[in-house]
Amino acid sequence: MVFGAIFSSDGDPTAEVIVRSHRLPRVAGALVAGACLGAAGSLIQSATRNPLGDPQLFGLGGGAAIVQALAMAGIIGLGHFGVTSLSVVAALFGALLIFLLASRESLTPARLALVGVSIGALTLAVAAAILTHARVFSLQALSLFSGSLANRSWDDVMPTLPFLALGVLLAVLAAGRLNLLLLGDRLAWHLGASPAITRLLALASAGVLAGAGVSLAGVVGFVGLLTPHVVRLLAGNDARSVMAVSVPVGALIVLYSDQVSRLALMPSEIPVGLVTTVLGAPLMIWVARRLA
Amino acid sequence: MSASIEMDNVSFSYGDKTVLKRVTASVSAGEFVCLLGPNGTGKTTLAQMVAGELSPTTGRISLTADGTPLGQTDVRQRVAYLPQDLQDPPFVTARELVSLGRFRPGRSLGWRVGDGDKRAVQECIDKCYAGPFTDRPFAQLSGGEKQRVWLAYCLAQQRDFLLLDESLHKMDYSKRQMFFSMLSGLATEGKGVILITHDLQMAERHGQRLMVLGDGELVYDGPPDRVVYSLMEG
Repeated sequence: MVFGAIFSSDGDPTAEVIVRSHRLPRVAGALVAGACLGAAGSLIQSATRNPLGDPQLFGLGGGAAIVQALAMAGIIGLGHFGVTSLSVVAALFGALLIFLLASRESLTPARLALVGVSIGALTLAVAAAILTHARVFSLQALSLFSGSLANRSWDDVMPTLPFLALGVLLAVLAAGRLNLLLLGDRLAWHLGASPAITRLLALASAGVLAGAGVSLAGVVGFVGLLTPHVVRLLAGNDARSVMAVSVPVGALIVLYSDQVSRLALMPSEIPVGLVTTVLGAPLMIWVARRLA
Repeated sequence: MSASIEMDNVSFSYGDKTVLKRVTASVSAGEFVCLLGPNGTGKTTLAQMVAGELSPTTGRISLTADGTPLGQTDVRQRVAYLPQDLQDPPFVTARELVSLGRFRPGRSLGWRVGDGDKRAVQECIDKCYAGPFTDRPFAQLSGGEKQRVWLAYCLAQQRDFLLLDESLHKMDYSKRQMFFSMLSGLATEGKGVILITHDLQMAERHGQRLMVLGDGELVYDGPPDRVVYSLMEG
């Protein structure tokens, strides 16, 4: 029936509307958001040598969340593509900050994570203040802060695709040298590489992807943290493979998490970010305990 | 081609504090030099200058091949430098870390490198007795095991010179002895090795030449000699 609704135009019109206008964009949105957040997480982890790397935990998503809040509050009215673009720019600011901090070898992974979490919390507080000021409460605010793919249309999904492509392109440019970043700047330099350029490319890619992901699904927590760790179990530690495989694995994690969010407490929906948090938070505790 | 590191009247100051004073020495490929001295006498600073991380305040350090000075890029391509107190690279196994030593500018880098690289990596792992833990996560190894892997990483670079800053001190006595002996063997094969160490006993037994820094000055440069003990006591 689903395939009939997708591929033929002489079936049940109600099913056609539900599948084509509601289910399909939602599935596509989950796949795109998951691909963006998964790849962004893997790039952040490699670029900052930090197993706690995640676009939300490191504050990249927070800037995009402020833009989303401004759009929801009606303070900026730019249309779908404009809001997505601005989200990407905001996430790039976060990426730039992490780039500057991560270049300092004295900053341990745990400290960098703490700084990132603080930036993330601050940006989300600003977003919450904007929504409160504009009296946007309830489900809309929840869908931003806990992540949701409910009621996504093709108009929401399409503007993110160019940014997914741009993010992947930047990631491909960084890919060849990504492994070297694991050594730290000093040793990478001694091997004859320019680690700062590779890190800049990787974090720019992460910023573009995180901005696109948050503009589509809100703050879906822990996908960027979870995905690369799952991928390393499946595909080994080569940073190039981790990045490439994080795209489909992140997409599938969000897709299935969205299914759970839609069906677990029917007829009510729970935000998809709550499902990914249930998966990711224990992992974060486990990783943090192993950090020196 | 005979290469050498020339230090010509080298001094270095951090602000007002002079760390190294007029050090003049030359280390050739084929020599195993142990650089000794009490803490804070400028050993690491000298190594950082040789490796190109710092520039002398006055004087000159250069790498020469057949008497011709080479540029900064060439230094990086000829000297494998292992600083002390390295942060653990995350996510990698010991073998993957050694593989990173095979990187050359202009090439992409993954673990599944060519057969030649794989063989070179395996040889370095064997040479450093890292075989038993080669596929374990690097971060989970003991201090001594990590140092063996870092040395294999340095060897994998196949540079003319090895510049090692306290790279053996976490190993147990017998392993340290094996590695001093291995470094001496590398010098015999034609590599130049400079090892910063506090292990005077091993240095005296295995090093061909000892350089001792005291209060920023080169107070001894010559073959192992009992006189070094008195210098080390400051």
